[in-house]
Amino acid sequence: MSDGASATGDLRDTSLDGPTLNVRLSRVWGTPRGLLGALTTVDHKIIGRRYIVTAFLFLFLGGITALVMRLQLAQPESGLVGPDTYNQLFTMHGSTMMFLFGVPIGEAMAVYLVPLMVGTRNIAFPRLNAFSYWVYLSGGLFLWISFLLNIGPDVGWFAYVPLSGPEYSPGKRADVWAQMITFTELSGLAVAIEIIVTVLKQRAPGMTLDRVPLFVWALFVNSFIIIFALPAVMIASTFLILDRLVGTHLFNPAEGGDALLYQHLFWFFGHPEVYIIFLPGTAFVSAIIPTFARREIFGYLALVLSLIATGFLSFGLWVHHMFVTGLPQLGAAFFTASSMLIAIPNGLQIFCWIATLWDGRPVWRTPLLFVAGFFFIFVAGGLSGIMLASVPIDTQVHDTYFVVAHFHYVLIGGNVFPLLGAIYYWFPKFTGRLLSERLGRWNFWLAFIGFNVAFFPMHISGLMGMPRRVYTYGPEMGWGDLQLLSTAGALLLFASFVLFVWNVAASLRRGDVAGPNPWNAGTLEWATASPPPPHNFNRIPLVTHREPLWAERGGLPVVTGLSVSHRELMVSSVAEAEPQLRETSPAPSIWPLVAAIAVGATFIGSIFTPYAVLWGALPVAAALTGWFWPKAMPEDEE
Amino acid sequence: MAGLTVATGVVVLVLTGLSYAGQRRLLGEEAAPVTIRVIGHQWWWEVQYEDPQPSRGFTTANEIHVPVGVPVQVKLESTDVIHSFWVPSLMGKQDLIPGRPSAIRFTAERPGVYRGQCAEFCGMQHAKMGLLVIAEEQADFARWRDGQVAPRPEPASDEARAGEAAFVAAPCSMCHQVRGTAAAGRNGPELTHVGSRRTLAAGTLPTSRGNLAAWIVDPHGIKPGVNMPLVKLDSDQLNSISAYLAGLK
Amino acid sequence: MSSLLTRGLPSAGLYAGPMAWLVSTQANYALAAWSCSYQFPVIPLLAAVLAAVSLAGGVSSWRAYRQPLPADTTTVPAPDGSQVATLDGPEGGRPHRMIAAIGVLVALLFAVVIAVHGVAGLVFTGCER
Repeated sequence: MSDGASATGDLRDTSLDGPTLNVRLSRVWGTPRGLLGALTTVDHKIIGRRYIVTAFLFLFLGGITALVMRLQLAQPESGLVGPDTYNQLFTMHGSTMMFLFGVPIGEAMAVYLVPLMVGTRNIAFPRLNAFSYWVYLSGGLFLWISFLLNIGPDVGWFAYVPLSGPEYSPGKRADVWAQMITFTELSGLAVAIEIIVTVLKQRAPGMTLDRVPLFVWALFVNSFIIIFALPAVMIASTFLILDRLVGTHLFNPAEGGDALLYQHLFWFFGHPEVYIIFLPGTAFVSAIIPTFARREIFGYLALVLSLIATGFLSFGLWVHHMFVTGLPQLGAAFFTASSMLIAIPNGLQIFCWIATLWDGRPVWRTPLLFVAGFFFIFVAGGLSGIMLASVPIDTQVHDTYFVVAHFHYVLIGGNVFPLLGAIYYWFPKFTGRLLSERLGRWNFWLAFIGFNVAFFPMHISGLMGMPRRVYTYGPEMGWGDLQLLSTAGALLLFASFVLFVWNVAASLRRGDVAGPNPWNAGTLEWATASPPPPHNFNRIPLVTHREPLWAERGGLPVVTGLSVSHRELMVSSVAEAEPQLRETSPAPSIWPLVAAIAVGATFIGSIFTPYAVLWGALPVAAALTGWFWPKAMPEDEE
Repeated sequence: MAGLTVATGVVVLVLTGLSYAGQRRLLGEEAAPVTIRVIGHQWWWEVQYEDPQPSRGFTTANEIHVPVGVPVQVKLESTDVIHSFWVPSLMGKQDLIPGRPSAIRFTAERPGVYRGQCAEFCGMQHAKMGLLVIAEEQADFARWRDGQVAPRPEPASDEARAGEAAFVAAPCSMCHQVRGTAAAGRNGPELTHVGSRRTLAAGTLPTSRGNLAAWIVDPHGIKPGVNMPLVKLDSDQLNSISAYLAGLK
Repeated sequence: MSSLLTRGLPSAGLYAGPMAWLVSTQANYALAAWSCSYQFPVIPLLAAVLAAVSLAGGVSSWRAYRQPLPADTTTVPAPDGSQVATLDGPEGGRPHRMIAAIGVLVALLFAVVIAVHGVAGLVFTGCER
């Protein structure tokens, strides 16, 4: 690679140094200011921040629906909300938490952090990234605006047929649910593809597969799960819309359809879905523990193995959601086997993490507190999960509050606690300021106590025979005291989130200023400024170790030769990350937004008439034509 | 590390084996002398007792009696959406899925009154779709069964007779059957011996003359969204019909 | 082809194990009703075959693990310049060996899961509902 400008005026970074390089790269990679810049940006950090904030907004909305439900159930025969409202509330709660928060937040953190951790300048397919955010936002708004206009869905987050079918759910409510699925799954698939390509082909030179951070491995495996699971629910929801709108009878037993087909399609997605929500939690834990244990992770190979095994096994569990549907016992037994045996890779992960802390010199800052909370809560949830895997036990506790307790333990324990720890950990990187440690401790303890007071009694409520999805219950059932206790815990848990938002708001303005690496961590995102410049790194690092910043304390070796006159990043080989190509990266573009609007209008229109698909294809095609219109690129000379 | 993993594996394999053993014991095939068909509706349970002699079969609603110590087979079907039959103290649950009939077996070991509730979200009044299973000694069960097979008892008072006439003339007879009268509707619960049941509206209200009246006057106040329409009756009709129904023991 | 058999393929276990298990899950579920009708232990037999497939993949991964591949030398020297780094050491740089080790363990795990499916086929006749 030659120094200085070549014949076509392409200036390389070899000759430039320090501030000059930073300024020139910031100009090339930066997003224009103002509204137009905001609408056209393809910077993964800006889009990632938007994703995170939007997902947290949906977390709050979902939390408010939960609070209303808990207030209703605090007393028997409460008249706070009627059955119609309650049915909408639990549908909105589940749908928001699972589709608008649980999956997107993992993708959000991946979009922001994976390119930084693998040492590249932007995520793969940056315009697709922008497009996926707009589609996600549209889907979420579509659901919530419908709810506020009293045409929100009321058939549960899973929307079983025949209840959600044309005969028993007239109107547009179930169609809103089904089409929201289409929005969010399109968005999820897009991000999954970007992550896989980024991780396989854009790693910094020297970052062989066994030097890839576990955070990245977890989100990489997660992306494969997303790609294979999401199509199943898209098919289920599309078939539902076809039955409702076009008059097919895919799920109508009177005309040769099968109501159980829906459940198979839904749960083939539904079980991997909960692992899609859990795996980012493992990513956060695997990143936080080495930093706060002050040693590299114990059992890297075992952890990668666990991630891969969990990813595959998660596809073999789905019938355990259908144990009481009258299927042959032999068939159910296969799924008991896989549901029980998945505890092996999950347990292996826990052992490795605990061993790292045991063998390290732990520093109990807030991120590590939340990880400790994760250990307790997730493992407790795993134990109730083992119980549920057994058919005889499940026939009693299926569809009771025992299951509600179980999945809140594994999802809040496995995703939300690590997520809060992750925000405390990476907030200085995102914003340049540290969150308050004092408020963080209050946040943690309030959340931990509130969570357990809210959800532990539900195990007992379920064992006392309380079914799910009931808007009220009689005083003679004896469930009232425990329900009141759960409500008290829920209020505490909600308060902890209010405290979290307070901490964020206050720290944004008055938090301690953070340098590039306030935690003395080892991975690449801490090698650049806080917050990172638009181009992430002045020069692409050369990686020789799993924890590059710990191995090269004197300063990272770097690769030189990338262009400074246009957006360029490095493409490398899959296993050994040998440099292969200098690849041009797209500049800001309006087409992702335009395409998202066209796609969104088509989706929304198609719940009213199938012709919307036909007519909508025209603006979508126009937008895609604009998007892919070839640009004249300066050809490489060597 | 390898040791811990192998230990986890062994524990999990043992639990799997125990689970299989439990499955076989609880859910295997066995003959059942008493067979009942339960058909789920939005938001009540139609109960049909089968008998080798067709004339000894009968239909009731929301309350099941079984003899103690005898295996009972319950065939499960649904006419509308998915429901789930569950009496926690007696057996695990199983879904009633339209187009997919299935069956469940249980044996009540001790006499008693056992409450059950629908355990699969089935719409607006899923929360109030309860049922009772009453396990009693063989002799009591046989007596109850004979009583249910018989047509309705003759109305005992003038008020009850007026009530029967009003019932048959009013829209009630379009949905409800009372064997021994002209009322032969099959849309709603069978009412031939409604007075003998302990609860009304699928476990929502204790049976009494007053509660029967309350239900007829305002079904949507008690169970918003039920399929039973509001039937306007004047106070005489209401009094006589509720007296009549309360007497249908 | 034969050199591939002797050399082994690091990812063989990663392909064979999960694929055999996926086939096992789907085929078993479909065969549950068949085995009730014909009262023939097709499921344990299928499980034995598929577990063998998984283990064969594991054997191929094991062979690859034992033989250091030329491509497995690091693209840059490890900090201390040595080539005898342990498999799990934090300096990394031996991705094919890691994939091979994972291939062996994944093949083993899935062989166990397939075997438990087979045991279910011995415990149940397929006619229980």
